[in-house]
Amino acid sequence: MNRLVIFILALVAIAAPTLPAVAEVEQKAAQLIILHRYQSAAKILMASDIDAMDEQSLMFMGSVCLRNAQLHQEVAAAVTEVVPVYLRKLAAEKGNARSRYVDLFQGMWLLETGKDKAAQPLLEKFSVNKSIEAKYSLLARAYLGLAMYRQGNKTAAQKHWQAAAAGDPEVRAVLAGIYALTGQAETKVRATLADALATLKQEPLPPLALESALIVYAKYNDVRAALQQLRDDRALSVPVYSEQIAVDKQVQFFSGGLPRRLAEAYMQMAALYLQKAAQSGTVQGISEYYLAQTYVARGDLSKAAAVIERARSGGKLVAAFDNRAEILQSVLQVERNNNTGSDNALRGMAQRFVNSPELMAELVNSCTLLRLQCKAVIEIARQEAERSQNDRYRLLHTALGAYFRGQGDAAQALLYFETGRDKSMKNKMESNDPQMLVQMAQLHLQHKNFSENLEIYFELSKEYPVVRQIQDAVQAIYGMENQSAGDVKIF
Amino acid sequence: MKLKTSIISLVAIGGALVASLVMAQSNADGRPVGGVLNYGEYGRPASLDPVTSNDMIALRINELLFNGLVGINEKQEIVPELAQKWQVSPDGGVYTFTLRQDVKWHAKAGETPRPFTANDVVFTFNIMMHPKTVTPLKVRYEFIQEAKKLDDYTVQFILKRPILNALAKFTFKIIPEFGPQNSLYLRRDDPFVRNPIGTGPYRLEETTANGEVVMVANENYFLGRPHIDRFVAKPFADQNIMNQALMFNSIDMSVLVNPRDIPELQGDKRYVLQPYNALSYSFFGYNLRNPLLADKRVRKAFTLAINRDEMLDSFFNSRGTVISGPFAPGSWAYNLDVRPDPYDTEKARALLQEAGFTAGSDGFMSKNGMPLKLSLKVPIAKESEATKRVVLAFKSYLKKIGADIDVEFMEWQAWKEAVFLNHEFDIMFASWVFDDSADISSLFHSAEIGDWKNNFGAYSNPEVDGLLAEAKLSLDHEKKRTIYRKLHALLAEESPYTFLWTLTNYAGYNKKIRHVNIHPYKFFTFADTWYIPEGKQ
Repeated sequence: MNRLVIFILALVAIAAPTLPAVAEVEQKAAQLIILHRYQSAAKILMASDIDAMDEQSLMFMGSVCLRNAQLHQEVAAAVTEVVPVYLRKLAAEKGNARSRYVDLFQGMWLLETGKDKAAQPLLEKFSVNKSIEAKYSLLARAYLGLAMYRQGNKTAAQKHWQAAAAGDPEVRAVLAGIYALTGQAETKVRATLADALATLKQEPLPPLALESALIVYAKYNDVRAALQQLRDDRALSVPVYSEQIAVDKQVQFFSGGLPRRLAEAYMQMAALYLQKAAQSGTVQGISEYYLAQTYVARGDLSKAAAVIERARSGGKLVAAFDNRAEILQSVLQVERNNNTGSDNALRGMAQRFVNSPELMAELVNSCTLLRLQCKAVIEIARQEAERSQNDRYRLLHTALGAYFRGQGDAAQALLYFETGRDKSMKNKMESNDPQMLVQMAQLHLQHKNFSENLEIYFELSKEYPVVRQIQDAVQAIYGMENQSAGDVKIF
Repeated sequence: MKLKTSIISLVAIGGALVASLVMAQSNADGRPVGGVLNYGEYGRPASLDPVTSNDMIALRINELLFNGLVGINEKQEIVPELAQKWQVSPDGGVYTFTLRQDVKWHAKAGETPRPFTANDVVFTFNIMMHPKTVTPLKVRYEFIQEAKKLDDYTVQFILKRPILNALAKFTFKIIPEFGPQNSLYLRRDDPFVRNPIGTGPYRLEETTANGEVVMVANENYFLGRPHIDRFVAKPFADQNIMNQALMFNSIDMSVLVNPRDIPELQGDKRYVLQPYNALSYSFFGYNLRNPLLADKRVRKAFTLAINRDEMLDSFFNSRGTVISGPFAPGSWAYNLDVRPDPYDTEKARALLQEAGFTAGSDGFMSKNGMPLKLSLKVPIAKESEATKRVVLAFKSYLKKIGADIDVEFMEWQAWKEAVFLNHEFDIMFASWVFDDSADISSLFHSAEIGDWKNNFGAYSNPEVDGLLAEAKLSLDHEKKRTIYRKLHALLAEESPYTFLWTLTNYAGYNKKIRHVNIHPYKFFTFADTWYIPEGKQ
C-alpha cells in the first residue's frame, strides 16, 4: 500500500469523504466511519485477529477505537450529569410508592464516583431489607464490601464478599470486578470471573456482568477478551433491574458505570493497536500521532508529549499530519509550562492557520482537550469563523463550541455548535459529529430544553445503545419538571 | 380556608415586580422601537380567539393578542402575567390569584380602554367549559370545579382534585366578558372569534381581504410597549412559495422552513435558521365510523403496507425520524421499547385476509361485497409538494395490498370542516403538535368524539379511556410515565393512526430581526422583546 493510500485511509478515520482501495472489511468500516458509526465499524474490525493484522490495519483499528473511546468518554460524562439527578429525585419520594431499589443504585453510583462513605449506609439499609430479592441483597453486600474496603475496613469487606460469593453468577461476576478494583490476586479475580461467566452462559451478558468483565480485562490488559465481549452490544441498553412498584408503576435502573468502562476498554484497545502499528513501517508516524491523542484522552500527557516528539522527529509524517502533530506538540508544551506564555507561543501558529479552518479547528480542539485558555488562539479563531458558515468551516465552529462549553459559557457554545451543525440533518449522526451532538444535548439539558436533548439521544441510540440510560433518566426528569398546560394542536 | 403562600409564588412575585419595573420602561432599554415584521403562515386560521381555535396558526396569533393568568419565561419557569401573585391551599385544592390592576383591554383609536378584572377570568372559565362551546380545551380543565370572583381583583379556582403541575394549566388565555355576543357559550359564528379583543402586546387591527392578519403594538401593554410596531401574518397556500417569499424579502420570517429549503438558507448569511423543538408528528388518521376501518387488523395492515423509511428518505431526504406511537421522540412519554412496524406487505395481506377480505380479479380486496375503497382527505396548504408525494406513495403502497385509495386535496378550512365537523372522510393526513405535557387524552378518549373535537376518528377503547383517566388522576410522575408507555404500546398495536414521523423544525428569519427567542410550542411568547434596528426598519 503506497503512502498516498495510507494517508487517505488515515484521513478516512477523521471523516474524509474519499475511500481507499483497501480490504473489503476495512472499506466497509471506513464507510461506517464516514457515517460516524464508530461502534459498528469497530465491531466488524474486531473479527480480525490482531496478530494477523498488518500495520495499516492496526493503525486503522486503533484510530477507530480512539474515536469510540472519545465518544464514550463524552457519554460517560453525560451520564454523570443526568443519572444522579434522577436517582436523587426517585430517592426523595416517600411512602409505599417509593422505589425500594433506588437505595442500591444510588449506593452503586456513589461508589462509582468515589463517595464510599456516603454509599455505605444506603447499601447497608438495602442489604438488610427483607423484602428485597436475595440476589440483589447479595449484590448490595458485594458493593458494601467495596465501600468498606476502600475505607480501610478489610475484615468487614471480606465478610460481605464471602456472603456475596454464594450469590448467583451475575453477583459473582460483579464480585470479580470488585476484586480487580481492590487489587486482589489475579488468579482469584480471573477464577471468579471465569466461573461466573461459565455458569451464566447468557448472551448477551447481563449489564453488570459485562461491566465487571470489562473492569477485569482492563486491569490485566486483556484486549482480546474485551473485544470478544463487545462484539455483542445488546447488553448496553438493557436495564440492570426493572422494579414493578405497583400495577402501573415501573422504574428501570441501569448500570451508571458501564459507559465509563466502555470508554476505558476502547481506550486500552486504541493504545494497544496503535502501539503495535507504530513499531515500524509506513504508518509509524500517523500511528504515533493517534497514539499521542490516545494518551491525551487518557490524561497521560508526558507519554503523549514523548510520542508526538518521536513522530515529528521521525520524518515519517505526511504534511497534513505533520501540521496536526505540530499543533498537539505545541499545545502540550504550553500545558507543560503551566499555560504560561501560551498566547505568545500559540498566536503565531494560529495566524499561520488563517485560511485553514481544519487546522485552526485542530488547534482550538487541542486547547480544549488540555483545558488551556488559549486566548489569542480563540480570538483569531473566532475572527476566522466569522468568515464563513460553509461546510469547510463547520469543524471550526464546532471546535469553538466545544471550547466555550469547556469554559462554562453555554450560550456561546450553543451558538457555535448550532452554526457548525448540519441543519438539514439536525440530529443525524451521519451528518454531524456524535461527540458534538452529545455536548449539544447536554447544553440543551442545562437550558431545560429536554426535548432537544431527547431527540439527539433518540438518533444516537440507533448506533450507541449505551445512551439508553440517559434517555430514560432525562425522560423521567422531563416528566417531573415540565410546566405545560396540556395543549395539542393540529398543524 | 386557611391558605399558604407558596415559596415559589413569592419568588415569582419578586421576579415579576422587578420585571414590571424594567418592562414598564421598555422603550428606554436602549433597543429601538418601530418596524414591521411580516411572517409567513401556511394557511388562514378559522378563528382568532383562544377558545375555539385548534390549530397552530391561531395559537401563534393568540400568543401576540392575549395573556394568561401566568406565563412561562425563557427558562421554562412559571411567572406572573395577568395575576401578580397566587396562593395555593395546603391540600393543593384551591388556587387563589390576585390580579394586576393596571391591565386594560385593547381599544380601537378613540375608544376608552376597559379595565381587566376578575369578572373576565370567571367569564372565560365558564364560557370555556359550557357544553355548547366549541373548544378542545374542556378536557384540559375538567379538573376545576369552579371559578369564583372574591373581589374585582381576586379570583379563586376550586379544584375537583389536586393534579400534577397545576399552576401551568393557568396559562390559558383570558378573554373579555364584554367580548362575545353570546355571553353563555362561544361558537365559531360569534363575531368575536374573528375580531377578538385581548390584553396582549399586540392588538388586532384587521384581517385583510387577502387573509393577512395585521396586529399593531399595544401602547398600553402592562409589561411595556413592544418594540416592533406591527406583526403581519401572511397566509401561503404553498410552503415552497412561502420560503421563496422569505428569500426575496417579501416576508421577514417563516414559521416553518420546508426541510428541503434548509440547505439553501443555511448557506445564506442574510438569514438565521433557528431550531425550535415543537413536539410534533405526522400521521394518517382513520375514521372508525367506517365499518371497514373499525377492524384493527385492517388499520394494522395499512401500517405494515407502507414503507415509512423509504418515504422519509425519498420525500424529506431523511430529515426526520420514523416513530412507533402517539408521542414525538423528544417527548418524555415516548416508549423507547416499541419499535416502528417494519414494512411487510406479506403480513399486511395476511391480516386483511384474516379480517375476511378476498382479492377480486382486479386485485382489489373486498369483504361481504364491500370493496376496500376509501377516501383520503388531505389539506393542501401544508408543504404541498412533499405532502402530495407522501399521499400518492401511500395510495400506491396500499394498492399493492388491494386497497383502493381516492385522494382528495382540500383547502385548509374545508378540510378541517370535513374532518372535525362533518366527519366525511375515511382517512386523513395531518400532524399534531404538543406542548411538553404529551397529553393525548383529547385525541383518543371516547368522550372526545364529537363536532370539532380532536378524536375525529371516533376511536373508542375502554382500556385506553381507563389508562388516560388514571394518568390524569395520578400525582405520581413515574406512574404517569409508566401508564403513558403502556398507552404508547397499546395505540401502536391498535393503530387508530398510522404513525409516520417527526420532522426537523426550523424557523427562518431575516437577520435584521434581533433578540429573537422562539418558544418551542407557542412561538411568539417572547416577541414583545424582539426588535429591528433603526436603519433596517
